[in-house]
Amino acid sequence: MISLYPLIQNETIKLLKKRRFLVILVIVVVLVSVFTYAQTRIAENTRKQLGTTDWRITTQNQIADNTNKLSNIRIPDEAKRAIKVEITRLQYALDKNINPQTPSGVTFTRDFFGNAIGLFLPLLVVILAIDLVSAEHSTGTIKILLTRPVRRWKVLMSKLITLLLFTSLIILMTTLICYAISGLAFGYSGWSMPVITGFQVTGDQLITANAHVIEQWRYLFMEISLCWFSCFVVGCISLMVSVLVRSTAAGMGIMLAALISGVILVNMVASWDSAKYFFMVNLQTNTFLSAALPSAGSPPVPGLTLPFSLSVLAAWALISLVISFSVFTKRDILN
Amino acid sequence: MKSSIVLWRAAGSLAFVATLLFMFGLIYAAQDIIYPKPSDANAASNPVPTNSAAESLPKGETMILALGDSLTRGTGDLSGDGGYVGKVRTHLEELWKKPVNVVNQAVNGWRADSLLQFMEEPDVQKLIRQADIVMLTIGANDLSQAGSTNQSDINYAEINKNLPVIEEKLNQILTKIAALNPNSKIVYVGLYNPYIKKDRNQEGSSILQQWNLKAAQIADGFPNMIVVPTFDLFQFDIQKYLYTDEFHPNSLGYDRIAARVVQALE
Repeated sequence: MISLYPLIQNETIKLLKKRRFLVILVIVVVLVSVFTYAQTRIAENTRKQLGTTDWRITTQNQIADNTNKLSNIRIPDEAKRAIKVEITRLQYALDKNINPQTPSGVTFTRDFFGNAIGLFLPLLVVILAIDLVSAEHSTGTIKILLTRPVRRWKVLMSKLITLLLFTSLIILMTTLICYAISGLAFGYSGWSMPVITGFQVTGDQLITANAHVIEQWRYLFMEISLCWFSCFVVGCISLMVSVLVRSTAAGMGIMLAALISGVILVNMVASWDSAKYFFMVNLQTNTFLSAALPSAGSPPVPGLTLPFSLSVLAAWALISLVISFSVFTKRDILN
Repeated sequence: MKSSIVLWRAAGSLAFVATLLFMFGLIYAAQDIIYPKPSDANAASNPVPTNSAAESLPKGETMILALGDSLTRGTGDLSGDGGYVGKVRTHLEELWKKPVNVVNQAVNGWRADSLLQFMEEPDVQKLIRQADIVMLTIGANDLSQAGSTNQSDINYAEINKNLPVIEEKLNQILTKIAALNPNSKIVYVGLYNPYIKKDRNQEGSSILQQWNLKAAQIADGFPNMIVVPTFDLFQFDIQKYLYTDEFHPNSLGYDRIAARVVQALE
């Protein structure tokens, strides 16, 4: 009997040698650089439009802008609810005298994760996970792998653990890259900046009773960890697709379609209640930290809470793994 | 092979540590969100805002505070300049060669009582105290709603009946702004008659002229307050200066209002 350790080592080296991980890092570097540049332009533009960078004034203006949107009769009720929540959040920040957006490397990283969790980060994990098994088929190495005196479940388990390790690596590296690059533009401070968390959204009400202030590094840590979990769940589902679908391109297509449909579904889930059981609607668990809305302007999803989202995600991951393992251990390897 | 082992050890242990870290973080986050701690610490560490905005405003910059309704908001201005307020700001920056900030707190559809209520908020009062120039339009919604009927025609008698009440509210607003900040320049932009084409008997126009006169009379009581007339700007060829809703000015209309305001301020 061979233990799991050398198997995991083998899988890790295989993944590293494929250079795909390097490609992912390059993608992150390019994207973060682009966003950092965009962010500096936005700051400049705000400065030009409002003539000020004073956050209290810009926040006041944001509140006024949102209040104006409320008076627009063409805006649907769900969106109005979202706007009301947003106004309360901004007002709370004003009352507590805490700038919701002090530009710094840490704040940028925080925002980046907040925006990337819906699509970008899961996509990176999919790139790695989607051919973990199917590539063995297409290159024919599956036969060499399975003729070893190793139980099949161990082979798949080693792939799963490797996937877990690489999910962590991707998240860790993305954090470091974000901080390093955006720090060049916005400075490397901001770890201890106060951030408000603990808002709860019920209907169109933003409940501030439990709102409390924490240092930004805690907030970032929690956010990243939540992102990590979402990413790993997507990884598990990709692994299942990789077991079931032989073609890497087809698998990629399936996962892409699922993730992108999630972005669209989030906007519709307010009207279609059972859509909240889809994993892609629940990926943005970090929104429970900030009470920000999943995507700007989209209504808050009724009935979504952190325990619910985490349970749905965990259930999807578990079911995917059960299917993966039962199919992988029983299937005949023909070609 | 040797390098592979090194690579594996480095990547593997880093990934392992990161995994543990994120697992811990996930539990920590779930706990913080599901069982939030009551917020007692933030009161001590974050004092209630005093006048931080005033302190952080750089010296030598001018701040314009815009209050009121959609006319101040710039509804109908598709140029993206932000209505007459934004246009005034651009002109003043060129004239004075120094930064001019705009805080536009106007909200579409507001009536005089909405603004009065809004001015009760401490944050807003602080803004008024900080402002170098306060610009406002108010009253148009009060008047048009007082005269609205089920048909398309306007009930001028009803407006006339309500006029003293609305005028009194305007008096309260302007007095209050002047009391909060006696040093700032206060610019009330007068009303024009968007329905002048339909208004054959000049009933609406006479009401609006009366309104503008009343505003001017109120302004006379304060040395820093002016009323900028716009009535005449929208008399000839009004279609050219109105937005498609035939109520708000378009970009050209706002240009003309802005030019007047700049003349009064420079």
